[in-house]
Amino acid sequence: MAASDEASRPFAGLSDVSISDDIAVEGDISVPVGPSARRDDEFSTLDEPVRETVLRDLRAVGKKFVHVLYPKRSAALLRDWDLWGPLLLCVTLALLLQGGAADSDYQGGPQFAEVFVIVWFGSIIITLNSKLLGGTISFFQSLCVLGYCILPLTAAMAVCRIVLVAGSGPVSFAVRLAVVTASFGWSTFASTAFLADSQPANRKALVVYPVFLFYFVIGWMVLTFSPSQ
Amino acid sequence: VEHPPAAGEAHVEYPAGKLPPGGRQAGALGFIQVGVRLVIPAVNQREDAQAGVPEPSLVTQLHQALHVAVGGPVADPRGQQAQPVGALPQGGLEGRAVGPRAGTSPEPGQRGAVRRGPERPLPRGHQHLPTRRHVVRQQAAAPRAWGETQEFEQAAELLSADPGASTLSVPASNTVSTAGDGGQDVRLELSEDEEDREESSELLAGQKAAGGFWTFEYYQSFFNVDTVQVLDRLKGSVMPLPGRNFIKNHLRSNPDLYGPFWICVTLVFSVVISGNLSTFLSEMGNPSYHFRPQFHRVTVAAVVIFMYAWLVPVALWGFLSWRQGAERQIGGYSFLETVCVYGYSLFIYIPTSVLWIIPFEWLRWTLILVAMGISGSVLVLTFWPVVRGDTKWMSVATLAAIVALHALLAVGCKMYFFQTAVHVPTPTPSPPPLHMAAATTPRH
Repeated sequence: MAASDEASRPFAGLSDVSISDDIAVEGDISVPVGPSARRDDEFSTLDEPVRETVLRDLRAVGKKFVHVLYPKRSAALLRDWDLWGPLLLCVTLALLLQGGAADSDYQGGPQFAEVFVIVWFGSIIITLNSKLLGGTISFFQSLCVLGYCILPLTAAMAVCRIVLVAGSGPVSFAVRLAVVTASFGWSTFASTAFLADSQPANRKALVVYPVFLFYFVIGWMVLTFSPSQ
Repeated sequence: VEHPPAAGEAHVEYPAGKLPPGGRQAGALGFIQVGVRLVIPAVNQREDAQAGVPEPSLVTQLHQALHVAVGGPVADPRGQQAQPVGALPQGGLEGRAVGPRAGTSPEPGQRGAVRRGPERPLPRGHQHLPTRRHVVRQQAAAPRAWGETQEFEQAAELLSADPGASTLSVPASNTVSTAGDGGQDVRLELSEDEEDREESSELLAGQKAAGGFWTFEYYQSFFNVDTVQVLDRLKGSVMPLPGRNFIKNHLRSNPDLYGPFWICVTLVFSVVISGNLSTFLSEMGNPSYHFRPQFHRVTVAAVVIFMYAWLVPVALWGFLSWRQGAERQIGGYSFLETVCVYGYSLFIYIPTSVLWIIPFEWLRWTLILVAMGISGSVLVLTFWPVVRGDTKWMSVATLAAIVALHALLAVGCKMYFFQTAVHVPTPTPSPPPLHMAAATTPRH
């Protein structure tokens, strides 16, 4: 374009800018969109059956669960973050921690709200901590990773409740201890596998320690769950 | 305050003490040498230390001295003045680093960059000496060749005499507004006290307080520590050696909030978990005992410990600042440093609380005494230089209050969280009193 042209027309430079693929547009605006099938879906998600909509998100969540169970450095968890998984896990964990020894509220395990507070505020504080130390991970990506890595501990909680149905003697305690310890280690390992790369090299331990503490506290909540008798 | 009126001597005032011989720091000299030819052989012989300086007359004295000592203008192509900040004797070297930060180089127009390189440990055999805080205001008039060269010469002199100084670079045309002064005042700091540092860092875009408090970078500056630094500070908090000030030795003008915060969090959970375990162990033989996680204790512990770790330093810092303002005392730590030292001093309680699981009362009390001794002495050694200048009564009272509060926290935690089994079923939960050092605490 000639310089005079550009100078004369105020938005001249925009005519050859194509809207990026990340912007989903609905309606009848005719804009050049990318040819990927995903864009076509989003372009017409209004007409699809509800089951399809729900399943898409569930599939995304399930895929991330698989990534957590086999933690290796994949970018999928970080790139397509979502908070559905952490929410599901947190609610499940909090529900499973209910029904504990409750002859008085002050003596029992964590309340439902306390679990929520610990999980979400703990994740937020750890994320802030890693960002303040110079990490490059984004806020919600970190929340996503920390939330998803609670999956092993939630699974351990379910196992513990099953074991407790059988009995609550020292054998069951030993089994529960082993299961909780293993899942705590798994959670910590999985989350550091995702988070560690985004930290400056000389501060990795400073970032990993709060994660360790976080899962340790959740593991303690899981382990000390004692059913009402 | 001595003023040896020797002709030919630049009246560079230092507190009493000998300057360390030699030992230049490459960074500082490199900074000074940019565009300046250092031709001041007389400086190397200047080992005297003089204390104190009246503010306005220094300039004239310096002018005279430089005129005699230098004997000729030195070209200053950059038009930038480099002045050593905090030229100090050996005792004061601790808090001041030298030289530009790695990768930075002085540029014209670089405004008020405070060069604080990595801190140096004290050379062996040197001690901490009391430093006297004073500020030298130098009227930098409109840049004329002679004035600039004078400043450069003076800077070179000061820096060669004391390589441990940190340097402050101010472009000649810009003004650094000191406390209310307009014009072209350049603030020469000749002390390492935190007040100076803090004031200068507020005024200049230095290492601390980058940006306003609403920016993220402001808070990032409080987390500017590496793993090894944190570990070193943890070590320093459990090994108080007389004469080693935690703030001066370990913080070295880089207080962080990472340590205090995470130590408090860890302490909260360690106290609660250990208390839970100790209750469980003490009740194991009791068939009617049913294990309870007692999760509400987390809230109680968190409130108490965080209030201690944050409100007591606020009160102490305010009190010390007030006393210094009233008494014109030296020294003084910034708020961050006070919070930092309190946070790190709590670290010893973490292993102590874990060891409290062992169900022997005499052992628990011994552990309390040991832990209180260690962390209390860290606090006392840190604050002693500051309160020493005060009246004897006040300084003793301040230190006693510090130790007493620390003891109160320790004993209170032990008594509330680690009660030995007195099996009294309490159907009604009562919120625990905050002042937990009561001998009879309700069993929870």
